[in-house]
Amino acid sequence: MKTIDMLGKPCPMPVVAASRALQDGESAVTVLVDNAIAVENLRKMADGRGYAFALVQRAKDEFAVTLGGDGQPLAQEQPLPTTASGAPTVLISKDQLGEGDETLGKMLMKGYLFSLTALTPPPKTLLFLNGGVRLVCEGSAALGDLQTLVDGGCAIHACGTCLNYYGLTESLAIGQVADMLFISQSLAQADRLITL
Amino acid sequence: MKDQPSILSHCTSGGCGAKIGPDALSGLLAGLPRAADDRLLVGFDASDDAAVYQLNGAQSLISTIDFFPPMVDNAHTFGRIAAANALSDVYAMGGTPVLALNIVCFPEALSTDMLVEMLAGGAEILAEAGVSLGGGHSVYDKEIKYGLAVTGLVDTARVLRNNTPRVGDMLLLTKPLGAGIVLAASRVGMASDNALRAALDGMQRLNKYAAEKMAAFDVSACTDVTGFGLLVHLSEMCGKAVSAKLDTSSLPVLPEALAYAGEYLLTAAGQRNRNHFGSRADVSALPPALAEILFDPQTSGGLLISVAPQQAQALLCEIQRDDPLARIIGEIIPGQAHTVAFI
Repeated sequence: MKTIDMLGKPCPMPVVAASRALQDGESAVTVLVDNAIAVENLRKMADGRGYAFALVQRAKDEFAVTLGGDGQPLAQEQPLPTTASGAPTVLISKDQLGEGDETLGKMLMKGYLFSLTALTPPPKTLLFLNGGVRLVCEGSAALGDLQTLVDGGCAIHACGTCLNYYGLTESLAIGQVADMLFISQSLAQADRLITL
Repeated sequence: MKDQPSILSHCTSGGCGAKIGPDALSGLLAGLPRAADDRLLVGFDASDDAAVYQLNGAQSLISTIDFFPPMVDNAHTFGRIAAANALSDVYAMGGTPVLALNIVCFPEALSTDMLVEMLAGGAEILAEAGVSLGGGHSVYDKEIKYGLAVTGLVDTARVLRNNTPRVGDMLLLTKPLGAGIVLAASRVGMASDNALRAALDGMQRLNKYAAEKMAAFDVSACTDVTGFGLLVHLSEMCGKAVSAKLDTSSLPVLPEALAYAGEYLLTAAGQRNRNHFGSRADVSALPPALAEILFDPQTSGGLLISVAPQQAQALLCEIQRDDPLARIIGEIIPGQAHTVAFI
């Protein structure tokens, strides 16, 4: 898949670059832009031409917009997978996703938390343990997305022992402190559990 | 000038598309102190086109300022457009501009020939308008910007505000829409010569001629359509008191602008305008390209005039003698849930 760097380029350049790549035969293209307005203009083009649209916000001023169509415009955007029953509970015990490079891991976790804001149905509960508690403290890059989840009815709980161990008790920026009993019960009662 | 570097290479987004968006702007202005002097007849709280300060019973002073980065690749044309744009706000208040001061930002590394051409373009328009250039101010900057501070005069009793239309009045628009979209297309090499020429001609055209015709008619409100696009400027005119009905089939639109909008050759400012406008009108039933035209930022756009209905056709005929592309585009109706409705 082709990636086109349109950081710093004014509208309509991102739309034109994406459009040309897709018309030249690329099945999908990822366009990097630095502002939400450019994302909106790309979405208008995608909706109008029937291309699938996916967005990953990689940083405050970096958005990766993927337009795809397998050479054929899709009749409609692929619906996001929905759960058959119950909203998921998510256990997050690290501030990175996966193992390997730490910078990549943190970026993946940020992207994952952002993607939860688009999940249908949205997660019911997020539980943060061990290194994961950093994500709910001041300075975390994920606070905006976590707030979006809270606004949508998601409950956020962070392990009190862990916060205390890392000296972060005063730095909790979102959610409630929970003890191990609460966390254990939440895990046992979860309809669907995702463990990261 | 062919071997000169492009003036556009020194700017990211030009013309009225570079304006700080309406949402951000109102937030910034909210904290500023309001004038206590009641001779300030029109200040910034009304989002009007210019400030109006009463000098005496008969006359008031109009003061306005406009400047921006280039939106075209020719310094001389840019100068002409910047000047026409700056003067327009005085005409929109029903006044006559008399004095102007240049505002210039210019990169130290660029050839001064370009600066000379830019100022010459501005001076040409001022001469056409009969406005004296009294001086100006210039600074070095990494990006070119040009415009003017303009002072005008108006009969105190005949100041035209932008937010005083009456229910039943007809709406006239004196220049076609779509300039922002045509320039966006041109920026990516996709505008035809014909489309670009029509857009540039419109931007250089003074609103003086249309404005002078207004004096003999019962005009209740006037504004010029610039960077916030027609719908936002129209909603500023209506405020909360009244609404407007637009006849989208009579909107004057620049050649090929609708086609370019259909190709998503859009500006960032247009989307900001759309976001600001929110749900004040429901554009979902309109063809998407037409909706884009309604939000498209205009640079040095036409006058939007609210006039007594029985005089609308006569005023239109008068205006069309010098501005043949002017049209009646709708009417003012009693206030309703949506500020703007479409037929």
